[in-house]
Amino acid sequence: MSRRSRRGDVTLRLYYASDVHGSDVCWRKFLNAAGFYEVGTLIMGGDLCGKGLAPVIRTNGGWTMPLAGEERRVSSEEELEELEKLVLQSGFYPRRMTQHEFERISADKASLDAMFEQAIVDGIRRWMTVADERLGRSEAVAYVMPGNDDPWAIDEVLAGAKKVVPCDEKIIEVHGHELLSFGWSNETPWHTARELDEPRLYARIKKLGEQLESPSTAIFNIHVPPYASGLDMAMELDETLTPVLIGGQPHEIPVGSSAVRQLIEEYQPALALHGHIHECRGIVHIGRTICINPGSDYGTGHIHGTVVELDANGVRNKHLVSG
Amino acid sequence: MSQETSTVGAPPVRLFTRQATGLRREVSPRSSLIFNTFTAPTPFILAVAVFWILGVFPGANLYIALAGGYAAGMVICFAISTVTTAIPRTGGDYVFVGRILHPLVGIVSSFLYSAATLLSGAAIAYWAVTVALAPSLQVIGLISHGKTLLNWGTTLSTSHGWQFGIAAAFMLAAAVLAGVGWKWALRVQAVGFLLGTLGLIVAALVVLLDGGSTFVSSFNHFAAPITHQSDTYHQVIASGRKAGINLNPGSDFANTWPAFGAVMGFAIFSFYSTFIAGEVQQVRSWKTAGVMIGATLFNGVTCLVMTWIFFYGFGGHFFTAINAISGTHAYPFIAPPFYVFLASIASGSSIIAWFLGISIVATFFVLLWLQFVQPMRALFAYAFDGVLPLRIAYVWSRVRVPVVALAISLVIMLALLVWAVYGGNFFVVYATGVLAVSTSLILMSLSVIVFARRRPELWRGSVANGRIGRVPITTVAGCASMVLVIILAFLYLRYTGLGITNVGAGLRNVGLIIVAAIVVFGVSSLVRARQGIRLSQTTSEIPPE
Repeated sequence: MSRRSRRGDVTLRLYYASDVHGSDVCWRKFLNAAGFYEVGTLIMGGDLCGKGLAPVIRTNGGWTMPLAGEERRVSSEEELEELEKLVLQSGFYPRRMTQHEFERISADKASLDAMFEQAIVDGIRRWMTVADERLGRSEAVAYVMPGNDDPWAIDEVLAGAKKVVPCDEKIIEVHGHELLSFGWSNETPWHTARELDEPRLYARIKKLGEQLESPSTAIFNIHVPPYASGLDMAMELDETLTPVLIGGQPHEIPVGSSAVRQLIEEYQPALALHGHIHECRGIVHIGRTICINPGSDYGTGHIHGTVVELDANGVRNKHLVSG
Repeated sequence: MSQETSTVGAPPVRLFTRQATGLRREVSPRSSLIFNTFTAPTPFILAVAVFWILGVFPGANLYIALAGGYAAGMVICFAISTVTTAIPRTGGDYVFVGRILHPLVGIVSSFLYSAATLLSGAAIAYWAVTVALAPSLQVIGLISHGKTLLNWGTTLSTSHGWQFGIAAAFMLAAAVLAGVGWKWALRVQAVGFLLGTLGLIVAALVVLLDGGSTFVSSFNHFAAPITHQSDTYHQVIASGRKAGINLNPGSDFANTWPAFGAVMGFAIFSFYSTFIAGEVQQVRSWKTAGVMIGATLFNGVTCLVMTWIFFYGFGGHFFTAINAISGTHAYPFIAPPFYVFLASIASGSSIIAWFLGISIVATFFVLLWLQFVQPMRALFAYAFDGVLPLRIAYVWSRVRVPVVALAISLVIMLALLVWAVYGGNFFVVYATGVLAVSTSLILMSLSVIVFARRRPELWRGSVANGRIGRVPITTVAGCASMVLVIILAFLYLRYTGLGITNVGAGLRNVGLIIVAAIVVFGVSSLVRARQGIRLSQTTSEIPPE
């Protein structure tokens, strides 16, 4: 990889990231990655939505909210906005409410679920507004798909954005390369919104694959990584979702999809981009296909990604980056 | 979708979470202590640091040195834990120093730390032979009247060729263990920890029960056939006095100061705990600091207790004298006076001698394995970030180990082992590592000091966001850590007994490591620029606004 990267030979220069899980700052960084890394194509590989709702409770003389494992009390609106910003950065949704409302949602799961979903939808809508503003000032295009953790309610919001292209379960031509995107995953212990067993996962992606005109130059944008690829190692959990420890350390096992692995082996696209397993950042080869999982560190406000250059023959350069 | 349910009465304010991948129960902090305590396990400290101090700095107050050294370790651990809780997936100093200060500074810090670990690995492999295995064979041979073992131990303690061969074999075995994956490595670690701890307990019980006047009798009975004297115990004391050694422990503050440095050089590394991945808030809580500080405290307390037991059981004057005259013509034995030897004499049992020997060798072996973990991880990280070729990050999928990075670490460590064995003074190797790691810690401490200013949003979002007066806790902790590390470096440069016999050479070696880091960064930058990306961009923060 020592030859000069002549921009004239490069057909596509893209930035891929995944699993921002509601982190406001990571989404903004994702959008700004176009200018920072000088790429024209941004791809968000799923799991956009946050996992936590932080109640911000009105108390006498101020507000109380949970942050970093403790209760924080603030007395001014300025301080509160500052803390809410920190909460958003971590991927949680702050929600102002009274003590009565807090007690109500604590007791009523349906109310809590409804509030959660609304917070998520509001958050994604806000993100699409920011995307429309920022991408409107450049020529970059953002392809975004939901992942297995993302509720169905966001699909409509994604479809309504002007500068963001929803790409889940579609093939989209991007500068001469077919981008095949699929945000579902194989089954997980958490029984999330978009999960399929391996046979059905294979069938759904295969249906897309049959539409490819040039698999060898295609890009697979599949949220779940291939099984036993080295990009899918995660902690083994017991039936209570407690990590299994050996010698005091968590034991890791491959949790990726065998269907995805099989499909990559069959089609041998130029590039396969994955997320889902945050800790398993890496670049591996399955046959001639370069598979990349940039990992995720959204909780710290850093966005892990990858910058990839492709030419007519396939991947020219690839770099793991962390912003 | 959500998982939280109500409680009776006004519920505490807490986060609600929904059904989502990755949310799982917390890993108990106790489960991580084994790895942390092994950064400076007590058997190793007793065998190397304590006996080294008694020999080189007689009269030093060991209690003050140990308590001070481990207290310093706790301060440094606390400082580094503050940025760790805020940036829980740092990947080591390389990432958090790079993110807070500058990517180049991160690489310099990491190069220094990695170099120190590799140097430490070479020293530990050498000590595994000369401090653990050879003396243990001699002790077992003497106690059990086994000439073969005694001869083996003697050969091992005097022959450079055998020392290198056996140390290299240890190193290779440790590398293989690192290469077969965490599953087996952690099992071996657990066994090593158990053996080391049991060995300490057995030694403590033996010395407590058979100490004092009983030990004097046992020692004289053991030594009589060798020295042909009826009271070798007091003869050792007399020899020490005759050599002008200050036999009153704790009476010489001038020697306590470098002794404190010696302890610090071993005791400050328990911040290097295994990364516990997670998406819940436990990593960002004070438990992270607790695990690091807890390990330091555990090691410190056990060292202090064992030292007191040894002074009580063996006698302060004798204990000091026998270490001070060790290696001189006045010392009558082949085996050096490590606690394994003295405790075995106290017991008079070859079974106990065997067990203590096995336990200390096991401890050193596990500690040696541990030295591969950080350099391997660092090389892997450099390759990921484009500083080194990506193929260095190749992971053998069968065992999930970066085998190329491991092989490179092994080759470098073997080369350093040559220096350790044939270089004349093996402490120079370790001391050079301490200087290198001190420089790295200075950079880490600087990161902690400026953390609140450079990364205010991360600081405010962490548990370490408090202030003392108007000064962030992280700044205070970072300053304290910086002062301690500068003291450490000063002591190693000031007192040749700590291993740096040539200050110019020591500083030059550290300088060479820094230059190497800058050169590697520079060359990598040129290569990556031709591949379409600026190297500094790969870890620089994207502005969010």
